[in-house]
Amino acid sequence: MTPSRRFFLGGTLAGAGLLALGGVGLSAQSSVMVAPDAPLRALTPRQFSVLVAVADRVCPGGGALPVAREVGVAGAIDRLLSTMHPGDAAELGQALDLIENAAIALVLDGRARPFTACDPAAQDAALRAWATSGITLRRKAFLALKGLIASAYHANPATYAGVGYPGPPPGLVAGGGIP
Amino acid sequence: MSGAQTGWVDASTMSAPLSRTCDVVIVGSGAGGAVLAAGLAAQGLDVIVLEEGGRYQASDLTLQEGDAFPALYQDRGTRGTSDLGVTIMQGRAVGGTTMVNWTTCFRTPERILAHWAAEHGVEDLALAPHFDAVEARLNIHTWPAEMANANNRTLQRGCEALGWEVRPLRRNVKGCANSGYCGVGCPVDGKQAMGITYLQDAVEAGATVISRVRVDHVDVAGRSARGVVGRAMSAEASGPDGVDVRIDAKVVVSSAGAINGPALMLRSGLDGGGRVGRRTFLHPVVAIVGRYAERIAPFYGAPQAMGSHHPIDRGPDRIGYFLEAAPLQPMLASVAASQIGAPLAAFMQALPHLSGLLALTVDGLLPGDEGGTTRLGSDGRIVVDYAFGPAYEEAFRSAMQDLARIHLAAGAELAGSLHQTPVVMRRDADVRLLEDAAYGAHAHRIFSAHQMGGLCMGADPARHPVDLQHRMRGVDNLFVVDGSVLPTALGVNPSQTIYGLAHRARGFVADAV
Ligand SMILES: Cc1cc2nc3c(=O)[nH]c(=O)nc-3n(C[C@H](O)[C@H](O)[C@H](O)COP(=O)(O)OP(=O)(O)OC[C@H]3O[C@@H](n4cnc5c(N)ncnc54)[C@H](O)[C@@H]3O)c2cc1C
Ligand code: SF4
Repeated sequence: MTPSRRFFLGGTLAGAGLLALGGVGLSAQSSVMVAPDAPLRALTPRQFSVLVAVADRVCPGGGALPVAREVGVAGAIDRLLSTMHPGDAAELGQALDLIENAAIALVLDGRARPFTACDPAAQDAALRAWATSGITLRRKAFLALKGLIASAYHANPATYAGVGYPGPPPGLVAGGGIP
Repeated sequence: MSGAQTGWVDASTMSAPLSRTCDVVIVGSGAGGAVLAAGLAAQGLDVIVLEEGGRYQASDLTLQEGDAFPALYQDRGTRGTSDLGVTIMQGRAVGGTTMVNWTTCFRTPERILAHWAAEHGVEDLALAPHFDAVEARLNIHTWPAEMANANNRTLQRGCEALGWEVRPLRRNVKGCANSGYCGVGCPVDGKQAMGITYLQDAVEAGATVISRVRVDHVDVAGRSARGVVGRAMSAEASGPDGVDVRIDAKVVVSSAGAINGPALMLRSGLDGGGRVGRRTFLHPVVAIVGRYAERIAPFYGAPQAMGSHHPIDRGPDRIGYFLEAAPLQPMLASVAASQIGAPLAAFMQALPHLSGLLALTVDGLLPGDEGGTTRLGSDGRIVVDYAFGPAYEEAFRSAMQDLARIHLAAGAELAGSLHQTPVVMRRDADVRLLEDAAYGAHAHRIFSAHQMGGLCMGADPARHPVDLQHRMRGVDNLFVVDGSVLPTALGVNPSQTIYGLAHRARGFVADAV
């Protein structure tokens, strides 16, 4: 549920210089694309692929917990975004584009590959850089992604057993109490 | 009038534009709008309530957070301040935020009323008879201590061990099954939310409640409001996608709540000389989570059963706060956690053994504390700016220390903060580790479930856009009856204050018809 809103209000990162830089050279290295299960409603195919990769690092699974892509986290977020103000989807998409962008990553964090082409350790380092960045809008973008991903994942009944939540008691909807 | 359906009406199913006239049109069906609608309809007035959200009854609810938050909360459950420093939880449904609130009820504290009189000229509210009436209608009563779930008993145990005041809370429930699902809509109609109480009364007295209409603006000409203009909106739409709606009325009332109410005024060209949207209060919330050896199951049981006001008055230049519990169902718990990856998974796997305790800081009381600001973005989206200064940093630190002490005194194995790198405390001496942490937006998680202000009531036309009779200054027949009129935060959960104020406002609105 956490906010996906307005990362770029008053922001300066998306300044022309960095974006222009991102359009050439390093960014030519290609993204690792993931095909969505259903037609996308809000995100571009590349943004969706970045979201899949980020989600797998936010919720990597382990123990009885599945990895994010197994429970369709990115698709759920794409559907949610399609019910929100178009500006919200546009801003989240921009954030995903920026995270993927190797030229920007090289300038800011010394990472020379698109996010989706990095190994898990490098992806974790990249997300840490966004989370702790001195640039407010990068921290905002991280918070938005973390909130949307964690909530889409932990709202999915397929993850309940893994966290020891028995779910809504079946009798309750019919009017019974908690056993 | 066309489309002359009465009672409960769903605008998203309409195929022809809706145009009607009535005595009073009320925008918003929450705590303020519902109580007002019932009072006016009982006097024989022709009342129409317009609500952006849908009408959900107990049988419609799945009790899944993933269904409930997009359906029942503002901005599909993603509302936040402009820097995302504060996650703002606010309802959007027939019944407003009472559809999802946690049922804790308090009368307005005397010290707050005294502050309002001294600082805002808000005198002689004489709310007692109004509180009596709403307490009777909503069955507000003390929730028995023995019904408190383990998540609330940690608060009780810890406070008692420390010698701090703690007591059972009052709740607006009848036949509550102690389930813990208040935040996703009550499955057994135990919660006496507006949809099954005051709105039902209003409909029985002849009022019409039209859901799934987003009101764009109040049609104002000079000192007169002629009515409201909006559009229908279907359940899954990203914006209004249905028929045009126009309601002409002798009196217009905004009960759209804090944040949306000020935004409605701004869209209507009313900025109150720059005061509309200022003094938006959030009761900014910080939390500490305790991990216990025993099973807590913080996802079950009435969300809030115990509360403490021990740290509410910390002297004239410090921000006070009060303490309550937070129900932790998995989605909300995962949002509260600040980590990702393996640490997030570890936090979540401990869920059955976690207890979540909250400190709600009271904004708007210190001299110069203006809270946040609600404004309109260039694309029409509503923006809430909120900056935390040193007084908040001190209060957040002190509050987290108090909550950690409570957990440890209650027997927690460890207490953890919601900092990006959590501060973990295993014994009392560890509480001082919080001294070195950072505080404020982005340093740790901050929440708001109580939005107030933005259209503040008061005696001074230069400072208060709304007068003591709830009238929007400058427009003779436009009223504001909801949490946005509160001139400061309350230091208690706000719903009962809003019910009481709306009950009191019935006469002022009726007199204007
Ligand atoms: C999770 C949660 C738990 C809470 N727990 C408690 C508690 O235990 N005790 C307590 O006292 N308080 C609690 N609260 C807060 C309390 O419920 C609210 O403060 C209170 O309901 C606010 O009343 P209101 O009339 O100002 O607005 P609301 O009740 O929010 O009603 C406003 C309504 O107006 C509608 N609206 C807004 N704009 C428009 C528009 N343009 N067109 C049409 N409709 C519009 C909204 O959709 C909404 O339904 C809780 C809140 C949350 C989110
Ligand atoms: S605890 Fe459960 S039964 Fe009781 S009011 Fe809340 S949702 Fe309804």
